[in-house]
Amino acid sequence: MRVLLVEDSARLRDSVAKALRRSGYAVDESADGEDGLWRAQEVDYDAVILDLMLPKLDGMELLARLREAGKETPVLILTARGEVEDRVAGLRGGADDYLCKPFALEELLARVDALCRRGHGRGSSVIREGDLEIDIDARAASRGGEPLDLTAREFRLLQILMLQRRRILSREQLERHLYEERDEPMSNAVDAAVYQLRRKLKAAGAGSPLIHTRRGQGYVLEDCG
Amino acid sequence: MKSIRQRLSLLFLAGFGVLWILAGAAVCYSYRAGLLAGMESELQALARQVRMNQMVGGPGPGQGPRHGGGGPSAFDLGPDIRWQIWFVEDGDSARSDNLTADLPRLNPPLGGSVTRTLTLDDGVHVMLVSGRFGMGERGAEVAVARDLAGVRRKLLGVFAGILIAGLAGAGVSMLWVFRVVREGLSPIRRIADKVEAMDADSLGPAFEVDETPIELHPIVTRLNGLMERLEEGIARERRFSSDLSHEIRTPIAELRMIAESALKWPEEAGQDAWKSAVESLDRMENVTLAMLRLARLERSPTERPNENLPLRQTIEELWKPLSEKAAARRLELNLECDAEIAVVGDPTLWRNVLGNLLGNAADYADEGSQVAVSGDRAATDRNATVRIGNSAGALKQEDVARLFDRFWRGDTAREESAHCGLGLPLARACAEAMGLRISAARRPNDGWLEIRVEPGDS
Repeated sequence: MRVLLVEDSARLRDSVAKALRRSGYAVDESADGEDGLWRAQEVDYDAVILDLMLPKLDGMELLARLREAGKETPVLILTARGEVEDRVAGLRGGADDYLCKPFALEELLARVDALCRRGHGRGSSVIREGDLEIDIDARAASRGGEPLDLTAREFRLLQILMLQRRRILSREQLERHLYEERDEPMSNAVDAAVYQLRRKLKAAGAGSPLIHTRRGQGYVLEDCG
Repeated sequence: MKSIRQRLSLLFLAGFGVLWILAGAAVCYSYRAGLLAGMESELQALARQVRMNQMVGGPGPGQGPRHGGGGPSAFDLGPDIRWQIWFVEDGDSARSDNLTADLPRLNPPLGGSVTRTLTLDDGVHVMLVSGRFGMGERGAEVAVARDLAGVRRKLLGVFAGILIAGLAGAGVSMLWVFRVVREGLSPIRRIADKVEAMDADSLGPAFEVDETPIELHPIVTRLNGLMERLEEGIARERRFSSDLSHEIRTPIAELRMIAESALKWPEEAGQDAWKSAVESLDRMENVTLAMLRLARLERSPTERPNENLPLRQTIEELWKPLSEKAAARRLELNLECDAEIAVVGDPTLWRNVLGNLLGNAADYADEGSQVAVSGDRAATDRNATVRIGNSAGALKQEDVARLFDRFWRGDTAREESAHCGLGLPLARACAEAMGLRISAARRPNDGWLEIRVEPGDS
């Protein structure tokens, strides 16, 4: 999952981005409204976390222009403006969720998770495919009841494959969701990550392979057993 | 208190009522006068007829004339007409049959007549006309009286007609008055409705002057002006609340994130995290102290020292800690101020004013430009005027009015945590606490911004 964080306070931006990364997200950061709008239009993020009082371009204006451009990326407004009318204006202005500063870290993570899930048409945080199960909120995955020990990036890969299971995802799509702008991944990084994930899935259960390669198209997660 | 509509309606109705009564009374009086005048003429004619009848012979049988055979006899003019004639020749008199007692003699002049209304001995209220006719022995005085009951009956009929017309007129008037008053007051009603529907979100110039009656133009124009100022004030207050909220909540959010991250991932709780926490605390402290200082300055004025502060020396002292930053931004200080010029007031407040203005110039003047400071004194009994100017290309013309708003910062400033947007408001509060006035102006052609501190009464 890849999210965009638009926040002018450098310290808050750093600490939120760190927390999101530790929770398995790829995070791009932006310090002002103009840059944030450009990024949000250029990249298909799974969610955007948006401050309202931004330099150069106000957050509400950014949101309006994003929606005008036809971008339906889920947006969480993260702001100090906590009055009812501000929240109503934010939600009516196209935001999907609204969180006031100061906020609890766990609440922020849970809301971002929920937004990402909703963005992929899922309501529950638990997704199952055959004997594989992941709980996005708990950041836990298991196969045949056996817990999987995954790195943040591996979990991210499994999460995007499970959220869009039985659909073929190209390497480019997976790369966009897995890596941040600053990562500059190797050309075979996605293949390597898929290989590692397959290895762990295989080690955990005796079931049939779940991740299949579609030559020339990409990968698909599907229980064919 | 009654509504204007009620009061106007009552006043109009009372006015109409009085008019109706006066008009009715006038009609009755005129009609009665007409009736009486007609009756008087009629009675005068009858008097002549009586005299002719009694002197030369009457028209009916048995009504013989006094001269030409026979004595006075009854001459019937109707049941409500009474007459009597007195002959000069023998002092005798004759009267109508329906007269039980003599009529009063009014001694009219020769050839003339006298008219009276009076009550006869039998209780009948009459009009009496008395005339004197003829000369010498053929002369006679004739009195003719007529019962006024007929006149009263006619007058009562007219009065009843007027009363009925009056009541109908009053009903129509009432409807008309209510309609006219409602129509007349409708512009006020519309204004009242608009005012009633107003809230903090719907201020601004709400009233169309062109659609308002001329009499209400001053009110509407003033109201529109008031609404605009109120809207500006509320918008400013909202901006202030929003900015204050941002300045307080953001560092709290930073601290909370740092603390929660450290609890969740203890390996994240390194030196960088503590450094960030201290910076957040510094920011909160700056905002809190500045707000407290502002609050103190805005409280009721206290006794403040009133000392002379050498301006040039003070500027140089205050610029020294800024010189490193100024050098990095290639700023040059151009100080035009005689050494003997001093500013008067509380030295601490003056340092606050000048320090904030100089710090602002050092931070936001265009790179490679000049910061010009000058001071002059118009008169020995007045405080000096201090001008601090710098090139501010990034500042928009419309932002000048907001420079002294609390928490206002240009976009370029917002990313910097060292500034919370309270420096200039503090400078203004300090200046005003010493009775000084502080103002800003920007030349649109070259973006030169000048902030001037001058005596408040200038």
